[in-house]
Amino acid sequence: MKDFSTWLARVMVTGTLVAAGVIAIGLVWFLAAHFGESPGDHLFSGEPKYFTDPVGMLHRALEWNEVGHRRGLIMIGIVLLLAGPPVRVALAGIGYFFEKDRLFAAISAFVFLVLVFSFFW
Amino acid sequence: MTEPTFDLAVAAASFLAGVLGSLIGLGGGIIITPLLVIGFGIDIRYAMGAALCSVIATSSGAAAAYLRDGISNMRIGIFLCVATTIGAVCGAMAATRMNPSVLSIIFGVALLITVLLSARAKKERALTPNESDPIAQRLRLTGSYPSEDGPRAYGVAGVLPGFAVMWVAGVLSGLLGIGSGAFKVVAMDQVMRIPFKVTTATSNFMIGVTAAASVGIYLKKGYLDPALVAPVSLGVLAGAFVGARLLAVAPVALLRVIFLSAVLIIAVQMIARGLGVQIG
Repeated sequence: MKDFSTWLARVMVTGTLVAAGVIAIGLVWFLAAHFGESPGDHLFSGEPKYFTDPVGMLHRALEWNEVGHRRGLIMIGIVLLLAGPPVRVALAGIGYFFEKDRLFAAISAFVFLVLVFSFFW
Repeated sequence: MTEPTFDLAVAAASFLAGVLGSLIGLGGGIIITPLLVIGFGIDIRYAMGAALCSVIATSSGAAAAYLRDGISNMRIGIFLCVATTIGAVCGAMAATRMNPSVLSIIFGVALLITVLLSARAKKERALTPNESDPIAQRLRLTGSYPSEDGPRAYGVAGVLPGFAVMWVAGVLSGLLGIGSGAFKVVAMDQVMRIPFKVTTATSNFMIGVTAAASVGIYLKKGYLDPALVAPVSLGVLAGAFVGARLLAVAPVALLRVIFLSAVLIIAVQMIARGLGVQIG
């Protein structure tokens, strides 16, 4: 279990840093396009539909030529960031499963399902 | 303010909130939202969305460190996450149906309670594993943590009341876009009588999972604006990283008093704002 914890800790830190890196690149790229504009022009108008679920967001972000793809890159980073906790719970559940701890594997699976539900309901 | 000045200012403010938050032991969320609302005039729902993302970022980093040290209790964390995630989904759904003024008032009240909880004197009342709640024994929630004189075993009391308080902490997290660490800590150290070290470490793990349960709903509602989430989460993450390293040298006791007083003023301002009264 100790090795597993160390490994899990490393996955968490790496994931967070990668996500932060993508967000930072996206932000710089985004600001380069909006230099000198008022933030009100792009803030608080409510997000367009395609930015409101992870799958739609990834689709949009990967369409390089579309308007909004700079924000799309930031969104990819955000999705990576938000994927951290569900991945962590899933890994913990798998860990319990291999330890033959059925009850805790089921509890982890339940928490994981609540998280998935909250993203895709 | 124009770009990029606006985003840089937001990032700088978030950085400061991250440093202070990690020094004082309050998460970024509870500070960053009022800062964005009062300081930058941002709609509270967008502020909450950005704050929640920053909570997930810092929780991942902090939880990893504790996990490596073998202090956090994963079994307790996962088990209580059942309560907090369900609570968070309920809270976030309620938030999307609520008037921003009402949210502002509730936020202010939660801030006041958080300050009171953080300022109170803490008394550890650890149990031995044998004195544990039978449910805790059945779920094997008891554990041990490393201390100077070897591993120290501890018991866990009040599993069901603790579970209920955790649900409330989850609702607050979803409703207000905060990590609600202060409330989680109360459930664990006051109700379940888990040692402080374990409580802090485990709540860090739970905060990220709880926040992730409400952030999906915020996302669906369009409260996550990439142009705001990016500077806030990067700023808070960098701030928390620096704060953790300053912990050994900073005058933490003095900072605590100054900071908690400042949060009191912010709390009153948030309530006044919700009531439509402008102060200062």
